[in-house]
Amino acid sequence: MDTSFASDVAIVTPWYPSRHRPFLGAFVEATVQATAPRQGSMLVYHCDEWAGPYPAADDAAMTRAHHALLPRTLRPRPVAGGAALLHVPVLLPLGLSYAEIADRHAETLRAALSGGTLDAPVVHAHVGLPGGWAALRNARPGARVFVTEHATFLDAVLAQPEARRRYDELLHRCAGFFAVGRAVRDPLVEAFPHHAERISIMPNPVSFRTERATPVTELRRWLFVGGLIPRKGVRRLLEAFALCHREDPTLTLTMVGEGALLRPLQARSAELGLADAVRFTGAVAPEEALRLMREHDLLVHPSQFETFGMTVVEAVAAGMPVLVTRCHGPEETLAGIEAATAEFVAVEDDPSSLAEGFRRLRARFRDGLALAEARRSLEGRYGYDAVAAAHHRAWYPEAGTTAPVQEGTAQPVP
Amino acid sequence: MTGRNVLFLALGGDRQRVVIQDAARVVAEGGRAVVVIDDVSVWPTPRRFSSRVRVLELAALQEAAMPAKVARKVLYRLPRRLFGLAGRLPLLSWSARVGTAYEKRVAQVIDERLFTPTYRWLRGDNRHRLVRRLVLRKTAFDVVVVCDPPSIPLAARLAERRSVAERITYDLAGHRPLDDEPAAAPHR
Repeated sequence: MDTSFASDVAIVTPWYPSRHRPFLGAFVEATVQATAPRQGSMLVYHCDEWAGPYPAADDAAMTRAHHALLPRTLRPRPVAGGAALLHVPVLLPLGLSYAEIADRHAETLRAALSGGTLDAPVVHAHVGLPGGWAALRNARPGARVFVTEHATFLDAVLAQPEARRRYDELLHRCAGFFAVGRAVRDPLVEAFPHHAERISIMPNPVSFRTERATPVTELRRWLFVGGLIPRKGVRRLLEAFALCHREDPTLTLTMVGEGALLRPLQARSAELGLADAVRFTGAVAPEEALRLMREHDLLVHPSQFETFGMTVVEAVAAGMPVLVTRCHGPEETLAGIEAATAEFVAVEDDPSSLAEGFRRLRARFRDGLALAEARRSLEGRYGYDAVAAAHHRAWYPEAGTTAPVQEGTAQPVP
Repeated sequence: MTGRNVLFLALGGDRQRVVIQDAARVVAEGGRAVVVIDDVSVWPTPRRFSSRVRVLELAALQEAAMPAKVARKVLYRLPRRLFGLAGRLPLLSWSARVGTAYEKRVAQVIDERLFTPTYRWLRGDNRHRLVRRLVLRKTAFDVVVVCDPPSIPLAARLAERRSVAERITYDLAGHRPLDDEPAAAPHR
């Protein structure tokens, strides 16, 4: 099979929504959807991590066989925005360091390319280690490599000396490096002050193309979208909902996502007598999550840490207010429109403070929020046109500003 | 993927939800789905496979292999027949008890301690031969999906035959019938 896949832009990413993990990397898919239509061609290399507790001997045999098999299995399939995607599984036995994981990605991508290089003048990778590293090691001579960092686990990566060394090299050699927000940029600048001027901010794009059929008239139908894991504050959410449900039994909560806490949450929901009020949908595709947003009244996002907090912006795009923690990303994305659409609460375990936040937001909603105004404001910052134009300017600086740029739109700024 | 015959190699059982759904979709669209698994016990919900999906456990395939059949005949069936004949003779009514004791203390011990280990040692990893003989020869598959890392060495051995190699994929969604154009060209 021919493994020469020429394209104008190659995207290298460990995260992209798939059948197995429909949530993972929805923001990468959104970026592809936003930016691909401006390019002649875009090819996404989804370096999908297949991790497992395999013994070293099995791992060696599996990796050998995998590298031999991989080039023959690659068949591009159409994805968002008219781009094409190649699925490149990366085998990861448990216990590898971040540097080893990055090397695995680079080696697997090279095997997929039959030892060749990424046939594109522009390569944009997501996640510094492993995506950026794999892109850098496989880009063709003269290609410009860009990287967007989204990772919430950056501190763990930078705590490992070998991973930190690779990150330093990545920052040194790439043509452009973007963080999705200050929560990502600040620790990178602190770790690599000599690269401070190279690290810009490039937000994730969010689709504002579909409006909800009817505006929110009351805050009754709560929605959570995200992983059912401790970092997302889902236990606190359920307890806070129980407190509010006691005061207003018409309230409902839909929890969209899956994770280790699914069963404990289901059990707790039954224990609280909320089986009829709380619905667990499991993982759904990103477009289905957006549809659900347009059918609910309020997004509750009690996360402990977010680098960007895409669902919060998506909720505003879906015309709903948000009850959200000060978990870094959302303070930045909602800056200037907090009063119009959001109620912030502290990151803590106490459900009563979250419940109190709901009561405040509900009272403010009755007095009137400015949801449409907030939506327009965020579209200018994070809409597909704005973020795609910013990417285009970064990828082709010599072309000047060829795309329409609105006031206050996303820009890769130092 | 209308009417396609799809072989799923799912020895690791890592992506059970997707394998079960994809196999169900294949048969719903008029195709045939065969799922090869290693050990049924790592599939906590084997009954969730559509009834029209054929699930094959490798251990069962190995049982069906010729050496195992011969061993069973020599160790169990022939002696059972002899003890059966002996039981018809006068004064030999104890033959049933002796036969049971033989199977438990002799045949089973030889089988488990001598035959099976020796057979495994001699045959090496023969799973690809079993799958070829007992699955691929009986059905023409349009696609062979590698579902998890433990299935990769088996897929690589199967891919030694060109007819299989060009049908192997890690991504059923990206696979199209061989006589079609590629699913998507990188140039739009």
